[in-house]
Amino acid sequence: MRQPRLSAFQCALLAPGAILLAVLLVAPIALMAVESFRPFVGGRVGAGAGWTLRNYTELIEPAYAFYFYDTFRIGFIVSAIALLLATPLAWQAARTKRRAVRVSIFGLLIGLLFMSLVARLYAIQMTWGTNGPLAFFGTLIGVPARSAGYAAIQVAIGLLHFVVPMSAIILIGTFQNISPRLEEAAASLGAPRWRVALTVTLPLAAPGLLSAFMIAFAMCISNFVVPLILGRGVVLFTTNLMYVRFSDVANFPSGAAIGVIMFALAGFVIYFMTQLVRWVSPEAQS
Amino acid sequence: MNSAGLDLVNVVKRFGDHAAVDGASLSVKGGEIVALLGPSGCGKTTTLRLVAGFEQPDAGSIAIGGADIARLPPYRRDIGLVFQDYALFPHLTVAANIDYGMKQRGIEKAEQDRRRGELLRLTRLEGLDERRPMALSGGQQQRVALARALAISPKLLLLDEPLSNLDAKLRETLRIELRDILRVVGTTTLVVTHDQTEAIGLADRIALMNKGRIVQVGTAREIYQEPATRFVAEFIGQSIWFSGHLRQGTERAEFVADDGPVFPVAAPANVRTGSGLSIRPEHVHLPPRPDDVIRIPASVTNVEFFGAELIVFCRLDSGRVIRIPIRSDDRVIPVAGANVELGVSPDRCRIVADD
Amino acid sequence: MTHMPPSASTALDWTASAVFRFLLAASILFLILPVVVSVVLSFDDRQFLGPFPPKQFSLRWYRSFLDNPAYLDGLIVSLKLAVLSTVISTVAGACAAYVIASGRWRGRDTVELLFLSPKFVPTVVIGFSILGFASAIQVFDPFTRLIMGHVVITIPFTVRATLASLVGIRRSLVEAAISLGAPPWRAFLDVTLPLARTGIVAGALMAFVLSFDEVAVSLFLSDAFTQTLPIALVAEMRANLNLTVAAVSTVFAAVTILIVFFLDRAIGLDRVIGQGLYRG
Repeated sequence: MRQPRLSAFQCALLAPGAILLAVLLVAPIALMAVESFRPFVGGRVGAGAGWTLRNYTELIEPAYAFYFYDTFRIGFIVSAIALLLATPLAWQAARTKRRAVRVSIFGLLIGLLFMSLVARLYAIQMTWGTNGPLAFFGTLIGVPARSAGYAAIQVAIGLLHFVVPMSAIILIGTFQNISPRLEEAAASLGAPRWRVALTVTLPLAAPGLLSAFMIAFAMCISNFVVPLILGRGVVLFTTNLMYVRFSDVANFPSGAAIGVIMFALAGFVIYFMTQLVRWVSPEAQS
Repeated sequence: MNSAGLDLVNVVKRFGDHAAVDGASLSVKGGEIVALLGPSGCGKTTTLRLVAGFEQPDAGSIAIGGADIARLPPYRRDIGLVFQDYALFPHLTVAANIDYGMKQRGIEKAEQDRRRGELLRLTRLEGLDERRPMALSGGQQQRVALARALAISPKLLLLDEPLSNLDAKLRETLRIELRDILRVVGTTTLVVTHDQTEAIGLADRIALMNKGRIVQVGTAREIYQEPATRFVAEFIGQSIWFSGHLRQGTERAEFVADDGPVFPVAAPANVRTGSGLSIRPEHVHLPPRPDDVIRIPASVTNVEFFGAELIVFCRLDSGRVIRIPIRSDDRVIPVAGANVELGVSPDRCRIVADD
Repeated sequence: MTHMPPSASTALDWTASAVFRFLLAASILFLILPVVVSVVLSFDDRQFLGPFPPKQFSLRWYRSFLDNPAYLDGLIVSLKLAVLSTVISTVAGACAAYVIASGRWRGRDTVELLFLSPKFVPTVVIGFSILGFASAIQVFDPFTRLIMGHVVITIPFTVRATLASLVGIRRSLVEAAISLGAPPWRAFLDVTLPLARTGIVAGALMAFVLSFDEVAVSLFLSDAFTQTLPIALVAEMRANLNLTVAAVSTVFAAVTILIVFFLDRAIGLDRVIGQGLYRG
């Protein structure tokens, strides 16, 4: 059946949003991409003439590569830990029969989503920082609170606070869509709870877990505030790098090059994620 | 009481290159209740949507009370529609739901209240005005949907599988209630269904639909006793079908079944090639009655006991197994393995077109 | 399948159960503790950031917040910005969602992806690119630039939330209204709009919160005189970290609790997150 076209009225409804996106998303990014190939001329946008790849080649220095690596590394580790923390929450919320428990967990997660991340990051600094009640945690794992390496720990904690509520909400959906009858069937066939979890629930939840992981990962590597506030200048993500490059020397083309790379990276992660989910389970919707 | 008639003449509706409705014609008299009965995919729902105005026919005409309505948009057709999922507005109360159609027509509040009260009484929903649809049972929701459709005093009422969303026990009770309400109201009604019990229970006449065409129209009895095609014979009630051919025997015409038995029958005037013989299982007697001229040998393979009735599975010489119901009063129950004789009278055998 | 003696199996089961419970408690504590610590510290009477717990309490940090013009200006800017960008984003987004949800039309999937795409772009890239673009088209007013940035990042949320509730409206409901005599525009007002209302409101709420809390975009698009509250906070805390931020946190926490409470009353948290395919 041929798909119908839109009526004039429908086009009119679509127009404001489409125009806004064209002007505020498409055009600026396109301009940024163009600018990334222009040479840097002190402090003005669009001042340089001609084309160059220098803005990109500059980034192939070990120092910059390290920042990229650090961003991915921390993002990956945090995403894994986030799944570990989010799964029990999501599972409990999805399976509990008591409405009070379910609504409380929902309330907690939604509340955390809505609560200012900036405020929570400072709260984390006060809790896990050198004077905070949980500062002993650093000594416990061999990275004392005063040391430079502790910044990475705090950034990880901050990112977890950012990512765990979202992951938990996604996983609630995943677990809710696995019929409890399947688990009951396995139990009736003699499987203890841990075996049911391992052989029935986990494989069925795999696409959802994968989705949640990749969404968490994408959120981590694109995050700006957490390294900004908790990184102490020691931990810098590519996002912060972009800001530093630009704000220190007003080097717009260089910032633009990093921006293009980040944009491409984010796009690739999303694409890779959708393909992976589709490969793991053809009928899965994320 | 509205009693406009509905006339469909050669209606065609295509989706892509598939004709969902392929030249369907039907006349419903004013005040009559007709069931449009057929299997899934036969085109009955499409026909309903064409009459309601949510689809446009590619050919043919649809008229209500003699006036062609093809050009009218659905909101001007004065038709009451009861959807299969009831489609009650979840954010409005029962009263507001029922009033909705009346509000669109600018009927005064007092009159709205009066009609609503009448309909609530008729559908036994008194006291439920202020409830939300979510708080009602399936049966109650269905009656609200009916009341809402009737509130506008439509010229035509369309019901889409009215009982299919209810469980078996409820279906029975509501079917009878529904029929009573429809008879009281007297509006011309078209009921679309795939369930023959529903059709027989609700309608004055039944229109059987298959593959986009209306195959036969008549009362339940007419259709049952004189099916026009094999499809009709097998859709309403049960039918034992014999493929074969007619030949001229010594005294009269005979139908020679492929399975073997020969049936002396009166050939109908216009027998088409590709016709077959249809017999209702309850007309096959075990043991044969004295009048049963035709005798068919068979062996019993299985007997199923259902209380008032037994089903005897009989294997014919050709190997084919047919199911014969017999009453279990006090006769001898046939045993599996026994060789028996089945008897049937020629006037119970109908030559029917195979389709 | 390996066979384990019943006792070992039960022991493993018990251990797994204990691990699960431990992780659950750890998660909850992990998420809540900083907020609790912050709330307690916000009433700390000490002038410096000392070891926890405080011995004496006062409201000095709340006064410090109210006395600081930078914070108050920031609050006003943030509120104006959030309200304005929420309104623009909700109107544009809800209209777009309505068209996207009205059946299959040519190019629909692409358009839907376009409207959801800002979510996939890192906020720094959005902030940075709009800065460049705004300069290029001679838009220098920081508040306008901020609106540009905030509208773009909030649109995916308004579209998606409205879409979610529109998709749940059965077609038969609209057809029922039409069959009862309502022309299509009437059916839209009487049936579609009320039923989509929860989605639209949820989208607007998410847009508001997102805009209020946004740092990266605001950082690129503000200037010294027009700052959002988060920017003002970060700037001040860079200069000298003190407990004013704890007072602000506490206020935010209180507001958040109110929002969540309101959401439960108005819509039911059950419905916000959903019940899945198999209820119980």
